[in-house]
Amino acid sequence: MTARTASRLAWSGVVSFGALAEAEDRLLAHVAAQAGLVLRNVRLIEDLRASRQRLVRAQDEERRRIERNIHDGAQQQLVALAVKAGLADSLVGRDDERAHRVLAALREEMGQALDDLRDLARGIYPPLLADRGLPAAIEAQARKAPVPVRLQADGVGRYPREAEAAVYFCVLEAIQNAAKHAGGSGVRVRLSAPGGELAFAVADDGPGFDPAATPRGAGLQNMADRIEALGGRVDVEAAPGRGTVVRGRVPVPAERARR
Amino acid sequence: MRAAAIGRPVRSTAVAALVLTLVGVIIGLATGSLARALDVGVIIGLAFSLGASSYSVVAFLIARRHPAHAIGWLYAAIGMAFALALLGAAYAEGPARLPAERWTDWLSAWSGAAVIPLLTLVLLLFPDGRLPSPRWRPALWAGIASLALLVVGTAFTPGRLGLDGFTNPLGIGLFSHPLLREGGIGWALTLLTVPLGGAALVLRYRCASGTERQQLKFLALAGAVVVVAYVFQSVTYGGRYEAVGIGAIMFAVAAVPLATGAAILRYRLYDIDVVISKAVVFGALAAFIAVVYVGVVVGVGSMLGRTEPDLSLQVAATALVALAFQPVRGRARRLANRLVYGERAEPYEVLSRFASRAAGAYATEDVLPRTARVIGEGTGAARAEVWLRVGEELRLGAAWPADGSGAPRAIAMADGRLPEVPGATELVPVAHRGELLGAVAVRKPPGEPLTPAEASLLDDLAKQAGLVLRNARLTEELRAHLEQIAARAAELRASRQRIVAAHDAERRRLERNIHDGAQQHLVALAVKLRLARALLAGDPGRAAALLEELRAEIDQALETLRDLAGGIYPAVLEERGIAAALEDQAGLADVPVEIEGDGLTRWPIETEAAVYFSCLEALQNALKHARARRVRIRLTQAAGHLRFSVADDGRGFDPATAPVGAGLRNMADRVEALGGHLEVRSAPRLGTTVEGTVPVEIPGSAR
Repeated sequence: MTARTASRLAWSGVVSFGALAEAEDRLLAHVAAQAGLVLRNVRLIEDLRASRQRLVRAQDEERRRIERNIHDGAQQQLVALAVKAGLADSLVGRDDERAHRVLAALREEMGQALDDLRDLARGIYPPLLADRGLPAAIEAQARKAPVPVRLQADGVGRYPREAEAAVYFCVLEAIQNAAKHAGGSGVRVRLSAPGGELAFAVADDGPGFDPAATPRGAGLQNMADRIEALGGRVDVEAAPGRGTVVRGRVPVPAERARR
Repeated sequence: MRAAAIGRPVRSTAVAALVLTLVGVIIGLATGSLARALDVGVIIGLAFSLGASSYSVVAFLIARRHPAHAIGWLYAAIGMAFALALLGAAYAEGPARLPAERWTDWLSAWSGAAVIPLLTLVLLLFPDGRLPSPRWRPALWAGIASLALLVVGTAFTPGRLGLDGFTNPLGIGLFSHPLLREGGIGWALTLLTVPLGGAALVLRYRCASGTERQQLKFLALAGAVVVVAYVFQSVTYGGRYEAVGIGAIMFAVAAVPLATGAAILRYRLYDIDVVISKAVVFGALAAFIAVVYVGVVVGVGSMLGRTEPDLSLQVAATALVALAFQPVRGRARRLANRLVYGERAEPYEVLSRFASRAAGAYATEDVLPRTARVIGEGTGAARAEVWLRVGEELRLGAAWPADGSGAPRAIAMADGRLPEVPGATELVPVAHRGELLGAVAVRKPPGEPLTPAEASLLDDLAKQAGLVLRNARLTEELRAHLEQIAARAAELRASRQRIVAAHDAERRRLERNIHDGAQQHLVALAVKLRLARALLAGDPGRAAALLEELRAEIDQALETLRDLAGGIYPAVLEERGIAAALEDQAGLADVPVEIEGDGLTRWPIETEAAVYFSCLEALQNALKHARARRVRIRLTQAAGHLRFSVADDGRGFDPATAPVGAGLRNMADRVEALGGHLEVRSAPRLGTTVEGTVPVEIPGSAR
């Protein structure tokens, strides 16, 4: 081996040692990146699990609430109606005047019971939503809201049932929150359908709040879970003194020209 | 059969040529023409006979395997031409006077002239015996014309035939014309056909792949040998070693049929690369020595005005050669390796390249193939493999060249030791900090063992590969992990979506139920009420009957509403627990439903709801679909778990073919959302059992 070869060999050894150290760094960085990915995905799984559990819990909660509503509302009203009908029956022929009055009250209460039951059914799932779509269903609810609600819906058509239902209930929840917390200021609702998405925004001019310091309310959390289960997302933008905006979007197939 | 019949004349010609060669050699030896000058003649004569016999033997072999192959015919003709030239010369050129020597010299002259044009035809037709395309026909005709012109020209040119001074017995005046004399323009045509033949070969090589490429490489090798021999012959021309030079040409000429014959007969075709690389090395070295010698001894000698080779110049030339030999050999070898294998460089280059490549590799999927490639190129292996140890198994991580060869991709290991890797010349374990991570294997071309330098390079590379393999394995494990997680996430997402969809469906169903049930009742009641009021004055008897009816119907509406509310969420579940709520439902069934839930305590509402609705769904399935005669529900609680099972003796189903129903699927989602699981076991005619568990936190905690 000549001196030159030896020196070149030694030099290349130095070079390769340096390069190898670099190689190790890079490979380790690669492995670390992968590990980071794994950790992030483990967290995703935890998030998904928690979200699924919240959904089930919310569903149970809703079942119980409906059951209570029927039990305490319509059922009690019917029991009272039955009693009054018995009374009217016993009065017939004896005191027609009184029977007449009882029957009038009975009729009025019957109408009330029917209205209550209709409201209950609508609250569970508004037939208007299935029949005429999101803007009409929200418009109907907006008229009953305790605060003025202005709805703007540009080019919103019909979408898969679950997307419409999720957006409907989410917007309703946001309107209720605004009515509760926004101190009677107006609420603006905007529905839009930019390519491949169904989007909504509910804004109020209330006092706002600091989202970092305030935990998400259960109602909104449930709605967000529902929207996220469909692949969408919900964001709340708020700042003290600057009002609140709840924005959300759900992916939908290209608009179907139904009806 | 016909092909065999075609092959027969080739074989006879070849055999005849062999016999003639033998006779020529015998005559040459007997008359002393071969031995006339021992240092010159023997070599030439032997070379001639070797050339002749090699063509004949190869022609014979080709004709036997491929009777109609044009190269077989050509080689038989060349063998015959050689044999006649040898025989004629041997007979005529001896010192002894023999009868008809003039005629044999004549025979020798024109048959010798046929050899070169015949060889140019080989260039056009190799390796398949056909032209590359019909467009090459003019070239073939030019070759045939040059053959005819040379043979005829040589045969009829008047005057002296060869060196020995015989005059041509058939000389014709016409052939003394410069265009025809001794072949005349035939030579020009030959000079034209040779580059055409070369072009044909280059074209073929470009378009060819696989076998044909290898065949062409064989011819290229033989061609290189001829070129080297020619260089050598021209260097020695007119000097003391002239005969050696001529002999070299003859040997080289003999190499052509051997190499090309081997190619056509496809004998060990794939080993050619090694031979070529060696030939390139030796050829380059020979050329180098020749150039130095001629340059120094002849060139410098003539500048100094020496006519005789000067001893001091020879010493100087020798010294120069000796000094430069090693570097030139190194360069020649690198050149040869690059020609044959692409990159195949010196060890230190490989080592530094390995490091820089490993550094350049971004993702691990790149690192292993790169490693295999560096190892393969560095050791001149025909194939290099990187094996990864996964558990008690070696798995092929990467191979160079990357091909879909049928080699095994995994080999089991016996008690932590490296197994045999089939086909590997050398297998070197790869370890990192004492842990066996895998191995690198190289397969050298046959006949080229691993040199000590390559072996030590392989060891060094294996040492450095430890790091690479360790990281590759880490990444592999992480990736597997990630895939599992992704699958789990997808499952969870799907389950979450199903839960939402089920919820929506339930809301819609509920709304319909209220609308069509209780609401319609109330509407009808309102109508009857109005009627009753109208009748009150005129017909109190009927009004009373109507009110009686009204009361009954209000009770009915109430009942409907109660049922509905109970179906949504039974109040009794919240008040008295799962077993009691199920008892209520069992009372409605037409077959006996046995419920065992003794000692069951109370649990969080979501747990109880999940278990209750799962049992209810299973019970309804048993009653509706299974035609069960009895159903048994068992509820038990064990450490940390609430278990339930609903078993019927109905007709059952085959879980492999029948999908789980939507109701049960929803229940499973619900149970799984709480961290539990649901299982359905069934077989035709053996009933169905739905079993599930839900984890609970503190046993026995009542609300």
